[in-house]
Amino acid sequence: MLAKLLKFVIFTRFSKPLIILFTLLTAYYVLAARAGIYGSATGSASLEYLGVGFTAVVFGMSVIAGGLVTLKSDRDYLFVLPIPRWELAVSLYISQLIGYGLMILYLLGYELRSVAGSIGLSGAVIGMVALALAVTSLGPACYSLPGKLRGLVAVLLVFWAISPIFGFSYAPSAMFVTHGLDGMVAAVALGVVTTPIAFYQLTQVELGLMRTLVRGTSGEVKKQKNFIGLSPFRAVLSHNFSVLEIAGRMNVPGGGGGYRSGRVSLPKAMLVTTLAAALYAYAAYVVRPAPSSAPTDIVITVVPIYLVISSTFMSMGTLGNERLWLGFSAMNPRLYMRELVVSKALSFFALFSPFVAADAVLATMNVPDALNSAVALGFILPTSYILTIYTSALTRPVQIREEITMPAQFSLGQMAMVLPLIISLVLILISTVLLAAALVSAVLMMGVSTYLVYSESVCDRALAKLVESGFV
Amino acid sequence: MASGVFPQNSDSPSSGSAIEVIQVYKKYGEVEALKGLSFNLQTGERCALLGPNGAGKSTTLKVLVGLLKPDSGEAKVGGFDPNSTEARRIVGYLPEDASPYRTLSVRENLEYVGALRGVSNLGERIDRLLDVLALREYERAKVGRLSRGNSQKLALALAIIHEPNILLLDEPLNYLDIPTQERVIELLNGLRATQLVSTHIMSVAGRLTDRVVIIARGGVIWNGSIAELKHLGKEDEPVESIVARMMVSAG
Repeated sequence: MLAKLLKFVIFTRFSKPLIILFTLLTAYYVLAARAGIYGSATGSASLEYLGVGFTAVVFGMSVIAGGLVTLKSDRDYLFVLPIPRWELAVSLYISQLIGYGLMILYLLGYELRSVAGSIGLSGAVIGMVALALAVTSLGPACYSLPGKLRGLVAVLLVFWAISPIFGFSYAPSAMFVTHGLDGMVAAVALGVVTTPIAFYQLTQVELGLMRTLVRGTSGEVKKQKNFIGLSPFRAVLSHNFSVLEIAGRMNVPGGGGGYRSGRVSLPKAMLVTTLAAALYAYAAYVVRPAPSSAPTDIVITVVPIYLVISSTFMSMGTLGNERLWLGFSAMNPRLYMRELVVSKALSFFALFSPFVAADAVLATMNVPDALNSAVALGFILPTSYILTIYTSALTRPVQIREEITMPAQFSLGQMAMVLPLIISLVLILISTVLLAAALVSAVLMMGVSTYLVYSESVCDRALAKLVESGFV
Repeated sequence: MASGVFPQNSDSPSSGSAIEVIQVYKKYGEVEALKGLSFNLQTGERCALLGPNGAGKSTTLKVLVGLLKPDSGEAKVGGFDPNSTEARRIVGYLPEDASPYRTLSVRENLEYVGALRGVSNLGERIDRLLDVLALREYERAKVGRLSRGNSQKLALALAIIHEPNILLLDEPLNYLDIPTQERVIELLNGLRATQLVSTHIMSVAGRLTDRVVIIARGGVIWNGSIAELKHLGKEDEPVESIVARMMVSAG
């Protein structure tokens, strides 16, 4: 019975081609790790920062945007069947593991050899498996918490994840920063705490879902926006620029989870990014390499990578939340799409502009590569958003009708969203070390974005795809 | 509801065909949704589009609202191409399972869509709709937290906020309780707009319209008044039974 249920649960959440891809990728990573041809045995400062950063991003995203790999139809049909709860919990947990836990292998597998260098292969494997279980469990363990508490947990976990950079060794990410044993112990501790909570939540999944959905029924918008008297263009700008809709769905690495959205005013969000940018500037200035020892500043090279990843996650709600029958029917749809995307791109630029400003200040202080980073962030971040939106619209767009549960099965087509992310990451990486590359990348991305935004045929194809994909 | 509460938009012709569908073909990949569909509605007419699941009703409405382009054939609303600005100005559309903007409140949704449509006296119109549809107490509520019924009422308000001359409604009474259904029927019957109502339910068609276009497999199988439709059956035969027989014989 368990095997049948497991098969049903997995194949209703993930398409067959996606499962085949996951299997091939996993087999490759495991075999490559065993053969010792994957990752670096000695490690490097950049790899350490990447390991810490990926752990922080995955922790934050799992708590904020993650959740349950459940479908609406589960609530209507599966959860009411007389199935032993533990079998259901095991099946859902394994689906969560595919959706979230495998990310650790794909994003951090390259660290295995260097971690094994300090605590041995068995220790490294135990540490990584514990980390994968912890990441898998964070979504189910935290999904039913109220939004503010979930945000607090995410912030604490992110700070915990980056603490090894400041010398604190009892964090899972410390595995990647020469504190292998302490990091492994912390990862196991986190896994031991979160996995039983996740299992408990999954055995109570229908009650938890209902409790979470019902809790918000009295939700009111306290600060109402006023659109009366605005022209159509200003209304679109006002709706999409000044209010940031934080939306998340973990499908970039192929993993899946529920969708969450929330409204934050842009000035408030910019307060947070200004603080983060100040920290970034401080870290970049303090840890900057002496000009003779290294050509690049590690912080300046690594931080933009996380900003691009974060902006990709945040862009997912734009189309998913859009309503064809309203905005697109009220105005010329091509014009509406253009105004929507440009407003959002400007909003993203404003959100991350404190980092551009921080880079400009660092450049005046002769910090290497700061100017390149300013150009890369200022141009590549907002245009990368445009690329992501159109790639999603033209491939496998998914409309959001309900929060928490998955809006659709995860499929290989949705992985197309990884392409703009990879392109942007490569351009950012090259740009931060070479000013000429930054300028060329900026021109290239601006050119492609302008074409996408102004091309009538692209817009028509995107609209047709949205309609065919069931958008209303 | 008095007909003067939501007066007619002055942009459209006052007589002639309000909706024209001429030999429209539309495919989704290999699936033919519409196969030479043709019918028309005169200005002020109220017509039900009846048909089984997958007959092409929703696709027809999407073509008429300009969200889909026909592969061949022609559709016109108020004499205009559905994709034209003129058509957008005079058409109101309520899709099946309509969902307004989730992160905006009820009032914000109405203000936003009203602003996009350039509606004058927007505040007044919104207040009137909130009262008529009993949405006043949910004015500040986030749409994502509304019940399906209240969400449907808001969707209807959004479809008529600009006082359209032509109204395309896909299952407008879905999710509504009986008192609210009566309120909405009264509201719709009080409008002077030409109305095309897609529905599965004959009783809904009977309450909202006086003419029926029955489609199956992407084409029209019958077109006429409800009175004519009743004459096709045996004495005392329910009209649903007549429609079912026609649909079955159409394959």
